[in-house]
Amino acid sequence: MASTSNSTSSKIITLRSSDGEVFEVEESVALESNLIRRMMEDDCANNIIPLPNVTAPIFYLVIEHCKKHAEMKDNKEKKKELRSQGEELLKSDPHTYSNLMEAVNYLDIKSLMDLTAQWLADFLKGKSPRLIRELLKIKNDFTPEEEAEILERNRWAFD
Amino acid sequence: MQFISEVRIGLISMDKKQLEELALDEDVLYQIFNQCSLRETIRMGASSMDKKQLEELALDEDVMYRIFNQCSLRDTIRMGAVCKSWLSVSRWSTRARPQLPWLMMLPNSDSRAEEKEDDHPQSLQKQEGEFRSFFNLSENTLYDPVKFPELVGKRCCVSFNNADACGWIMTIVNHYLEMQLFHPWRRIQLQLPNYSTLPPGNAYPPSYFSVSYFQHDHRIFKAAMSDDAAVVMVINERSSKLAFCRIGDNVWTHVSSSTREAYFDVIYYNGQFYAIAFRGRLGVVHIDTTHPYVEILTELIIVDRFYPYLVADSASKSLFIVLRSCAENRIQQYPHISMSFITTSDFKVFEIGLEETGDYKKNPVELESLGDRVIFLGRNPSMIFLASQFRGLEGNRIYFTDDRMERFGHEIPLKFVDVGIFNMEDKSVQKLFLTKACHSSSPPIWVMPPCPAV
Repeated sequence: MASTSNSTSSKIITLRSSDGEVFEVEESVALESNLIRRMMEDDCANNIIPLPNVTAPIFYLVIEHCKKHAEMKDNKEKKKELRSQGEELLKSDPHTYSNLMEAVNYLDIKSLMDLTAQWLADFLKGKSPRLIRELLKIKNDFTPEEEAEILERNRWAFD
Repeated sequence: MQFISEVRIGLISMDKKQLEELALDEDVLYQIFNQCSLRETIRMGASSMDKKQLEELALDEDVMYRIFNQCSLRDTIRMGAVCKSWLSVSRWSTRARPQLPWLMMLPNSDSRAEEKEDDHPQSLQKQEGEFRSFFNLSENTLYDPVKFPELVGKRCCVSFNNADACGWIMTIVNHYLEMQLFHPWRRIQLQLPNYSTLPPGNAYPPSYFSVSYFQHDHRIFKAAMSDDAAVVMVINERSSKLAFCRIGDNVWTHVSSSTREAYFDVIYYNGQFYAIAFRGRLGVVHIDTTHPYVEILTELIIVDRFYPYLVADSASKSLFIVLRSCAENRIQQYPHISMSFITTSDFKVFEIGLEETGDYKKNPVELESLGDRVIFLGRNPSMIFLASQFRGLEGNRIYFTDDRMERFGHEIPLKFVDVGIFNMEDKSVQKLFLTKACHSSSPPIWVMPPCPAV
């Protein structure tokens, strides 16, 4: 029911995810992505922009984050909230985090890249390799000898 | 829309099991998720997902690289032990941020230090504790003190930085004259021969300092280690003579010298040990003979009141002689006690180039400028770095740390510790103040920071 008649109609960009979902996004949000910016400069702006590497749920997450990130700029509370969300996501679902991160990387969204990279950087801080493998479901593909050698080289970092 | 909104409210109040039982169509779920906040989306994503979806973190190496670049060096190195792909990213990331030497010192955490200073300013050297602090110049960061139980009661006298010798530190226990090598990052120790087997006596005491020797003159002045970390050469302060050992030897082997030279510095470069005597005379040390000796290569440089350092510039294949001039100061800090300390006032740099034959030229040539080069000297074989390879580092500078203060045999307040940066351009000295360090009778030393696994 909300009236949009008196808002200066901001341009809407149409994007299509890899699974065929069509999104309508405000230009200001879409331009956060350097990939989309480049595509628009190459004059694809009037058509639907395809994003073959991003699925709809992940793209949704990305847009959501772009908005939050814009809100967050001078808001410490929000910043904190976003941080804890990152930790939550990494703990509950590392795979979705991976997809989000890859999408952000692919779409080339600088601000979000820094934010999401920082999530993992914070998450890794001070944790032992073993704990990290366990939490992020990563397989240890070292032989015991290789692993011992790595520890031996830099015992300092593992204390 | 209204309906979906209501469904959403219903959904977020459900627990995991209820959600799974609902088994909604994906399209419908998606519509609902669109209405949800991120937090809700994530929660529902996590709860409605089955085991197959809950997969591992899987990121491209270039994305991992960006993340590692936001981690501290220590975290980055540790992450290398998670899996093979992380190891390669860890190496990539640590290599991309070359490190300048770190300054290692006794941390100022010990409250006894304060008391002692008030009561007995010139009391014997404080027992070294197990903590050491590191100051990272590149990141301008002082790290939390690191615990090294191996270092209790030991003085770190020299650090090494070439090839396999990189990272090793020579330690000495004053009381027992026991000498060891310690690798702080790999946490291993090696025994060296006892100090008592080093050349005795003051053959030729460096004369221009009016030094009152305290009882603790068991000091290693300089040392160098071969690239394969198998041979160590030292100059002890008592004799100013050279001696060496192979790891595993029980005694130090003395190097004879035809002249009564007092040696000031020794480095290992290009498969040989080079030593420099007081008046800037360079020699190569021959150790693979029954009577190890020094072969003198260059003429004297007559510059009064400077003492020499030797440094190899692998880019130009030249050797540099760096001459340092210090003033000795004395202050009356307490009614009956005056305290000595030194202040670096000037440096001169000479280059020993190569003849066409590949031999070193006999006459060193003074350099006006170091160009892009930055030299680090102190209780370490001096190092050259190129400023352009480090962010924020300016060329034509000499970073120095105090390597004389042990001579005075007393603790020196931090503001008098001779650590700073010399600018060759305008001959100015900028002091580095080490407020987080502890008053100490042994100087802070440049050590090589940890490097990634090979």
